[in-house]
Amino acid sequence: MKTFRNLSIRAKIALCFIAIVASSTMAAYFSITGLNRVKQCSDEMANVIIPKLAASAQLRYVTNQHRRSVLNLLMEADTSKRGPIEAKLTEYGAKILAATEQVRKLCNAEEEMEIINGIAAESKKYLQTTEEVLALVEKSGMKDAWAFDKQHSKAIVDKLSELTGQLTEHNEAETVESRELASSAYSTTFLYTVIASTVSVVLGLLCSLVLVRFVSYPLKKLSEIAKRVSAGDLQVTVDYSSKDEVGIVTDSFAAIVSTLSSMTRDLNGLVSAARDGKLEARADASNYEGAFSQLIQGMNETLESVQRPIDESVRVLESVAERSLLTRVEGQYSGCFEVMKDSLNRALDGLNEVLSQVSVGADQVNCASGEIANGSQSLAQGACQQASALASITSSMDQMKSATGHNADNANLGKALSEKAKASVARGTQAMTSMSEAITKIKESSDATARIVKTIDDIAFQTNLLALNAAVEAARAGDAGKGFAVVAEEVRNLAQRSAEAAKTTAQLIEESVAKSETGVKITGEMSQILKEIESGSSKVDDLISEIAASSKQQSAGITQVNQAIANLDKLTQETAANSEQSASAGEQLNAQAESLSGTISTFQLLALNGARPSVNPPKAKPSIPKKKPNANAEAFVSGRANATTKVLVPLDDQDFQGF
Amino acid sequence: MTSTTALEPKSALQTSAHPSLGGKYLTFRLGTEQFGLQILKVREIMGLINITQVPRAPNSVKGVINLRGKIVPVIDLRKKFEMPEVEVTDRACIVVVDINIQGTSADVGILVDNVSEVRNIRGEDIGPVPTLGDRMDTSFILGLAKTGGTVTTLLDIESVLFSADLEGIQNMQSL
Repeated sequence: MKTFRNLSIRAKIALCFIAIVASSTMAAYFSITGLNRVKQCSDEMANVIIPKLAASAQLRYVTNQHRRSVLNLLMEADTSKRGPIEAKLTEYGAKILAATEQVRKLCNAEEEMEIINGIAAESKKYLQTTEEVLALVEKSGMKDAWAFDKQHSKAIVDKLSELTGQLTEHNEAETVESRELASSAYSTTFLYTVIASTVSVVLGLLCSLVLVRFVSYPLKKLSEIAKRVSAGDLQVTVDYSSKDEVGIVTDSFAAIVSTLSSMTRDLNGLVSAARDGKLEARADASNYEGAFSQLIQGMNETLESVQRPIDESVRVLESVAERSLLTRVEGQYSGCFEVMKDSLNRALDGLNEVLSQVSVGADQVNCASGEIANGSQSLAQGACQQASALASITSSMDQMKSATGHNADNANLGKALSEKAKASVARGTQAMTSMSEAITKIKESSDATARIVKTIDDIAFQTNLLALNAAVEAARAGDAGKGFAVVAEEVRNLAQRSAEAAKTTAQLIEESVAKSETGVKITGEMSQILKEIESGSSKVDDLISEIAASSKQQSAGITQVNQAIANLDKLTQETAANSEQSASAGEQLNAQAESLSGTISTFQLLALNGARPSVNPPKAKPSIPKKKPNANAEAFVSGRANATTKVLVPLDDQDFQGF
Repeated sequence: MTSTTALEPKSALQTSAHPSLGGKYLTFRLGTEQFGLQILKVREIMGLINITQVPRAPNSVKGVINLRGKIVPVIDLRKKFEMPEVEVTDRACIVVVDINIQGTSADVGILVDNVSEVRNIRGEDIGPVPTLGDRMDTSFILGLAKTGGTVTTLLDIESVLFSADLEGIQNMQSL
């Protein structure tokens, strides 16, 4: 059993299958052999015994037929009927010989052979005797033949019958033997086949059990352990030993579990040390191999890279705590540490810059407060001058007011004049309309005149024709018509003159029509111009009204300006008082700036762009005109009590204490 | 007489034409041109009256008028002289002339643009017709009268009208 367990899984499965195949092959062999023997028996039965039986039966049948034919012949007295019987005899004789040969061919035993030889011999003898009988029939007559036959043939026929019976008996015995042989072959085969099949079934079951026991069971156990390990449980024991593949896998798995648990222990130690702030703790990477070693190495390096920037930042912050802003974080880091480094450095730079600027600012405040005090003085002077200027403005405004009143009067006068102009324009427009109508009438009468002139012209033409006809008649009359010709000539001249006059009149009328058209056009333009004048004077009227209204508003405005100037005067007085308070506030500001400079100078600062010294030297105090600060402060307090002065910045000593 | 001798080298018609041509002429206008008719050929001058058109009449026959109960054909002289056709104005006149065709006398109206006057033209003011090419027939012109800077073409009205359409006129009058 131990040896089998140590075999590889492949060998185990191969062995099982070989056993099953061998037993199956045996069963098949037994079945095939048995079947072959049964087949042999049935073949013998079909090919030998049954034909032999058939042939023996045929032999007996034809012999009997022959014998019957002989007896028939012997009893037949009519010679004419013997012919067909003799032919039948010949046929049956041949059949007897053929059947004998058939039986001889199928014969397979010595005993049988003797019987057949006997049959053959008797058959020949019988046939011979038959021929002799037939000869006697021909020769001596029926009676002799019948006697001869009784004497010889009967014995031969009995012998033949006996021999045939023997052959049949022998054949039956052979049949029984063959059947028994087949039966025994069948039972033997059945037994062997059953035994071999049972053996292969049992072997198959056994092999399955073995495979389950030695392959599946250890794998199932291993998978359960692997599940626990994957769930994080490293407290597992692996107890299976074998030299097959499952054994090898189990051993490797046990090694993995032990390495993992050892590594987990080491990492837990590092993590708890780091959590307590001990960043110096490290794990030994040489205890592990490959990726595990790299992992531990990586952990150590991580701790290293966290520890360095923190150490440096601590050093820099300590120096800041001692009021020195000169140190910075210098190391090269990456990621969050670089951000931390930059932020810290920027914070320090910002602090440095702010403190430097505060220092500069304090100096500037110092200067500025002096200037404020000076400025306030000059402001007070300016307020006085402003007051005198305001007085002169007031007198100017009075003059302006009287001028505005005069303006308003003139505007009213202008309005009346413009209304008169408007009325004149309306009359002009009416006159133009009448004129236009008159011109139209002139044109109409010109047209009528033109018609009359046309009639005159027609009459002149007709007259001319009459004169010409008269001239023709005069010419035809010869000398008698000479005087008449002169008259006709005169008439024609008159007609031509009147035609000329009509033509001239027509021209004149045409001109007059053209001129009256021009007149109508000019009249239209004239009335357009008059309309423009009318609208212009309406606008002038409106404008003058607006001027009058504006003058009134201006007058009211001037009154308001005068009031404003009075207020301004009052404010100027107040400004003078306030500027003195400003001077006092400037002095207090100066004192605070000095104190600030002192505080800043305790810091060691980095130079900004190299332009500023690292330590602020104490500054000389700027000169401020001393002007009874206490008195100013009182004035300021009273100013606060007076609610009307809102221009001041509310500051006092209390406000500076927190600074 | 000097002018006669000066004209001698010209054709016999021209030399024989002018001395006997002096006399009274009725002048009229076709467009800008002035023409003259011998006064004795003129029967009457009348203003434009209604002209009845005759179907299938020759192109130059304007139609017929009723002259106091007598049917008179009217010839458009512009058409006859192959002048461009213009619109007829109220100054247009029909001059009725008395012509002699093969021994019988007939009245024919001619349509003119404007009748001017009856003028006495002296024989010496009438010039011959210059040769205007061999193939041109100038037989319908009696002469050219120079009057006051203009030239008046004096027409032989019978020659003017003596053409195929006159036969038609004759037939018309015989009706």
